[in-house]
Amino acid sequence: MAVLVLPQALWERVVAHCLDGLPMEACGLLAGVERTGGVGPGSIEAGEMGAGEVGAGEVGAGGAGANGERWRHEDLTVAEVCEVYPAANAALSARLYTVEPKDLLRADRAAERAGWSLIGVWHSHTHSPAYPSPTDIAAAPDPLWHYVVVSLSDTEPVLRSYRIVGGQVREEPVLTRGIAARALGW
Amino acid sequence: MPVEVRLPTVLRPLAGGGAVVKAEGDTLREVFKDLVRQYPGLSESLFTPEGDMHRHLNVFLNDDDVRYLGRLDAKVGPADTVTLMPAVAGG
Repeated sequence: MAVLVLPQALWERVVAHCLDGLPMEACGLLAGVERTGGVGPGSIEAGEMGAGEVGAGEVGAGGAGANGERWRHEDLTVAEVCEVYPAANAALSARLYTVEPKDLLRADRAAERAGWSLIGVWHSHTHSPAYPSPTDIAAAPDPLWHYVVVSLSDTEPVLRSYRIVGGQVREEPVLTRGIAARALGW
Repeated sequence: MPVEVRLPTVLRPLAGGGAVVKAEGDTLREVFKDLVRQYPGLSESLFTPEGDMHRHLNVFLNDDDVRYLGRLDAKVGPADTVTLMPAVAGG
């Protein structure tokens, strides 16, 4: 399984960009690093996670995975977001987004200069839940990416992250860095 | 002189796994054809069945989007870098 670590300051920048984009959908890129295995034993319980810090149904429902198992570090892929790059929505739409190609190139180059990779994308849903739409699923370009959806349809923004592989959607926990450090033994 | 072609992660498994490959050509079309000659698995990611540039692909010649440079007819020189990136879109 995978975990997305999104520092609180970057969480706020993502959500702020989504709010700034209203009434249109907003989007941007996530840059960071990924590590698999050897990241320390997991011991997160749902109650340890603060509001706005976690958007994963499987954690909320079962502590750590739908079946309630603790995270086993040898199976865990940790994707740490080191920077976020807001992008223009070239679709200029409240229902669709297209990351402006120039912004995509700029983000890719900036990430590379910093020693990171682009590891995902975020976009807002202005009137629907934080779950990938059929359009999102069909258009997902990279099975290794993390697809973050920010819903602005309720009183508070809701941010959740997913992997989309072969049309299958799997939600992943989103942790702030502080919680990840405690949970993953950093 | 071959040009440098930078590949996104999603295309690397189809081209030997590397992030950067070399290809020959004086136009983007020729570069793409040389890429397909070397890595046939890239064909469907680069071209439509009609032979146009795949619409889910962003292609940059150095810093410029090739959609504004003639698409597949864009002239390519030995000092140029072609960067391929997937279109990132949804709803």
